[in-house]
Amino acid sequence: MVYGNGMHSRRRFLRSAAAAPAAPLIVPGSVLGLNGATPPSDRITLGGIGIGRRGQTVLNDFLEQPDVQFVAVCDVRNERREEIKSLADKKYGNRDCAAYSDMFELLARPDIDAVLIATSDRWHALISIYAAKAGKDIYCEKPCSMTIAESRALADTVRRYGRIFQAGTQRRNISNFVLAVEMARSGKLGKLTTVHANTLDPRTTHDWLPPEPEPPKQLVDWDRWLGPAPWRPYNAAYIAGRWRGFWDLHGGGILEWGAHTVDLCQWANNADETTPVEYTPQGNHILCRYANGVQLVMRDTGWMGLGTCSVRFEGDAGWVETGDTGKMEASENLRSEIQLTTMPGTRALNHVRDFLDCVRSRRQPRSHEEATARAHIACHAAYIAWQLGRTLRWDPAREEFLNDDQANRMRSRAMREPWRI
Amino acid sequence: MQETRPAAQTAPQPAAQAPAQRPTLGQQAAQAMPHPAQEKWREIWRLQPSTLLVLLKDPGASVFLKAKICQRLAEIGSREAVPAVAPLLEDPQLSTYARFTLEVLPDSSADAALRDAARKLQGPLLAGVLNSIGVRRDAAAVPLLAQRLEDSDAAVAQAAAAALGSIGTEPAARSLMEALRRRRAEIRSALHDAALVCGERLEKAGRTAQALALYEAVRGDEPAPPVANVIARRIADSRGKGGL
Repeated sequence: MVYGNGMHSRRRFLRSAAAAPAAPLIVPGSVLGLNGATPPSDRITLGGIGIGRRGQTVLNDFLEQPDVQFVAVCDVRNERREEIKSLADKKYGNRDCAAYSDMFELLARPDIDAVLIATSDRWHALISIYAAKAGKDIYCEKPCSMTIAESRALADTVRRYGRIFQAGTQRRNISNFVLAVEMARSGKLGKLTTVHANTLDPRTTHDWLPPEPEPPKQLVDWDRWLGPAPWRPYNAAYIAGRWRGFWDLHGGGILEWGAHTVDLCQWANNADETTPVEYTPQGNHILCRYANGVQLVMRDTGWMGLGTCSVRFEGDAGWVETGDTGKMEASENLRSEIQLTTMPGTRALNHVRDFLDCVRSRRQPRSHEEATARAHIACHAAYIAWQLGRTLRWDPAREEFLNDDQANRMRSRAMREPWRI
Repeated sequence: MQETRPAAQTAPQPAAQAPAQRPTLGQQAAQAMPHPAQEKWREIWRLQPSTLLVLLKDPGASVFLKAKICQRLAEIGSREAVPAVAPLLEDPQLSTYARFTLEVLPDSSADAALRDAARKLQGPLLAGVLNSIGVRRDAAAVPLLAQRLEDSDAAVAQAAAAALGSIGTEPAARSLMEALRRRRAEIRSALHDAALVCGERLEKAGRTAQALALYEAVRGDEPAPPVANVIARRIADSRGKGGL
């Protein structure tokens, strides 16, 4: 097995420490009578940061993989640390899973190859960046950034450090979505004209919840929970999940689903290295235009009832639509092409496997850093256009709005000290 | 004919307040929006920029009000905001909000305000200000940042390193190399990362030889594997581009 980029110091150590150079240290599991199981020395060691409800779902998909060993969890909430530690210890029949409240302790461990990041949104880019700098490969839940600037910094840092990055946009590995994208990319729809992305109400609020007394730091570290978000008084509702909808804690409804659906539209339009060049808000819909003439419509209404996170691709020779139910609809001439998928759009199993395979091969996974950055940038740009209520033009090469200083100022925002990207 | 008045207006009135005891504009705003949870940001967004600046300087204005005004001023992007926002850099609850405004304001007065704060502040607030200087890539701040590389607070020195990396000029690179020679353990990894960023900037500007010198300095400091791998690749690439 080949590991690129000089990674995996633990395995390197084990190999170099082998007493007899003639005898390979890594022996296939079948030879050892492991019935195909991966020996511990050859497993990808995984740490988890901020594993909540969604994180647990994805973690379970990781734990199903025979070549993964989950060794550590980090959370600012004691209750969650213990819950995930118990889950891992039960799985392995030991008490070896380490629990940290400080992510830097976890990231400093040279024996950890990869991290699963499933905090709430404001931390995603920053922790991914720290993980890349620490030499870890990264599976990060979406949305992966809060701003255009974060999106770019994330992709640049991952590339700089040669890490494998997979965003938690798992629909890139679920067959009904993949088939729809393939139909668009292969020309079966004819010349692609319009791609539609299911998004949610874009609104966020700048208000605060009423202040409440902060709990002891060992139970909930509020300062660390806020992280790069600007200070606001503590309220237990935030940490119970009511952080969505607050502008500085949540990316809004376009990004919430657009991280998936705009991403799929980008892929369908072969636009993983670019973004639309124009954004026009119309109510809660955003009409976008790519340089190749294809229109991207971000909309929250008018779907065919195929489930959440629907996408629809239209060409001059046909159309296809699909969503999280796994069902597909297509124009008459393409009905024979479509299939029913039984895996729901929220399941990350294939996506996790894709990531792990890429950790080994050092190939780019489906939701790699650049594709992720571009899709997120499209969502952020659309949200800025919606907030300003006017058409914005965008230069994908310079990643700036054309002739609009106010929009350009909204590409980034200061992080609370001492955090920085 | 007796005039009918609403009950509130016929109730006994308190004694008239002396001018000094009158509620300030900020207190009036706080009374209108007495609790942060009830303060509606949309009302603040509707205010004229001149009113926002008056409210921001009002000692009676709530933290919420000031925070949201800073956010709004960042969107408006007027240089008139600088003198009103800059003092908030010293406020632990409002410093980030002040940097919201200053970090994106397209005027050299914002750079000057951040540099001024960087000379006065310490601890996390200083680190935040240095971060903003880095975001703005203020080349005039290099000497100040070079000094802060020696700050006894490691977090401050790390922020200074990152800012120098982001600025990415030859003087910034020289400061980073000097700091590398001092071999201060607490800031080594920050220096290494900053050098990678700075080197990228130099290469983009066609300063391949300077970038290579910086990479060699990092290599000499024996960085941890993640950085060592990048440095080895960069040195090979730079030499290929005629960096020597």
